[in-house]
Amino acid sequence: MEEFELHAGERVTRTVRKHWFVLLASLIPFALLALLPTLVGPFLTGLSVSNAEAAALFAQLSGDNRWFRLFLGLWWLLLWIGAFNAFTQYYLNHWVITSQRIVRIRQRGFFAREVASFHLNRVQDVTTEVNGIFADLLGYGSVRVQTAGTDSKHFVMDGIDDPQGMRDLIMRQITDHLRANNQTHALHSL
Amino acid sequence: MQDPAVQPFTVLDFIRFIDVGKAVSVAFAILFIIWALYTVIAGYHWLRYGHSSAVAIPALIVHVVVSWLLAGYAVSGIIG
Repeated sequence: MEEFELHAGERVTRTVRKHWFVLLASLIPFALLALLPTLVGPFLTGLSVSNAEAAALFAQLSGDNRWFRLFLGLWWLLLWIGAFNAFTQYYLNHWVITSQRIVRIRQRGFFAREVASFHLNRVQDVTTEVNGIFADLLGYGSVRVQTAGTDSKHFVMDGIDDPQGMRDLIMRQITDHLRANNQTHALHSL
Repeated sequence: MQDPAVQPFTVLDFIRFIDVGKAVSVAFAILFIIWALYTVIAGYHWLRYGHSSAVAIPALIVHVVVSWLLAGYAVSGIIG
């Protein structure tokens, strides 16, 4: 079951997802939240050195205590669900470049999916943007595609790997598409 | 005799009447239902929209295995 049907003579050139670093960055909060409960016990124990009772109580906040372990396991399970959800969103959101159009498939949450097509012959302008030290070092950024017409639209492929290469690919696809169209028109006019 | 109103933690007295084992069972059952619902919905999306990818089935297997390991860790102190 595909989200879109390929037209006659249309072929998929590339499927693009966000850069792996974008996924990694979205998982960092989950990792920090997972570590948090393991740091609370030692931190509070360190603070309460003058109060032996409190220190003994806070020392219980470790994996040796079965209730704390229960809390920790359930907390990590909830965070795992969140992290897996982030990965699912990352994987199911993608762009497909075909020989005739660009298809954006966006998963905006469960049961909310958007598929939009932009025909290459309507693309007017393609610009790239690389912002920030990590984006510059790791080579990811945004590609902004502007379409022509009275209802001109634009869409952004953000956080993708090698945006300049993607821009060149789209421009090459447009040239090939227009050339193929001109040949078809010339054949029809004979 | 000390005034009950100023005794510390009197409000928490009800905790003594709670069967901790039952409370944990209920909490675990609720979490399991949430997890099972999420897993079914995520599985549906992976299989429907990511079915042609080699990642779909391994991703779901990893999700289930990691979830069960974490759940096993959580109850290891109580059941073991």
